[in-house]
Amino acid sequence: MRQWILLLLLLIVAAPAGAQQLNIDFPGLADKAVETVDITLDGDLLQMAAKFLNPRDPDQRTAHDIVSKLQGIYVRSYEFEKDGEYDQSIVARVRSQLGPTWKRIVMVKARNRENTEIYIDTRGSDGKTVRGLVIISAEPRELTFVNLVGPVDVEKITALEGEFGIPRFSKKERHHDE
Amino acid sequence: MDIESDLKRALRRESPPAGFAQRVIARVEAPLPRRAPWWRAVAAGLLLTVLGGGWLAHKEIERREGERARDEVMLALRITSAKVRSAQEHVREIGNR
Repeated sequence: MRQWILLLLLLIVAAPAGAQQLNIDFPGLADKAVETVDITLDGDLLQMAAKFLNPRDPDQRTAHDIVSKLQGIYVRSYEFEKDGEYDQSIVARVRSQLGPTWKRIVMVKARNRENTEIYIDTRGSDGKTVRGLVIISAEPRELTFVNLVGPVDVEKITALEGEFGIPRFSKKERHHDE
Repeated sequence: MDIESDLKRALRRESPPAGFAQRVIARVEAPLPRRAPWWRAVAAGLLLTVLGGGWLAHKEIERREGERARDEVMLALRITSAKVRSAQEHVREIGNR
């Protein structure tokens, strides 16, 4: 009995320390989009990616520093042909998954432009360590969700753009056979 | 030293040990040890080729998967970075008004 109580206590203590992965998959959304980016990297795949990042390349070295601490990277980005082709409640559904340890650090609302919300997960002993990052970016024709699970260095991430030598991200084009 | 007597001693006639002739005849008549058939060598070669090829193919698949994962990491971080910077710029714009 005592063992069970100890195990339960351990689980209660350990749960907040773990990073949170959100559900950002919405069936049928990709079917409406003309372009989709769907990135899911976790566990072994993330470790494998880290191995292939070239430490001699400054961009990839920075990426390696970020990735080596993360437990998961989840990105969903959809581009639509016309305005308002996606259900606005999707954004609320993602937002509703964020628990009390999540703090909104940025919220930009602009009519007919990009609305962006950035949340950080501050769970941890000091209450300051960022344990996860969520970005919700909603535009009339574009919807993007980013979920980084694990310790995140926001400074390093913002320093990345401009250093990257890769071309503008190419989205997977959906081919409409019909 | 007397070379002549040394030579005589060295080349003197000696009888072979008992049974020497029989042993020589038996050895001559004994069948030659069988050589491994040629197909065994071919099979071994094929096996090595298949194993080596499999290992190389596995390494190649691993390399491709790793490179694809790396590209996805770079793309994901770039999107993240772009979104954060865009939000920062919006905030800055609002602050400058």
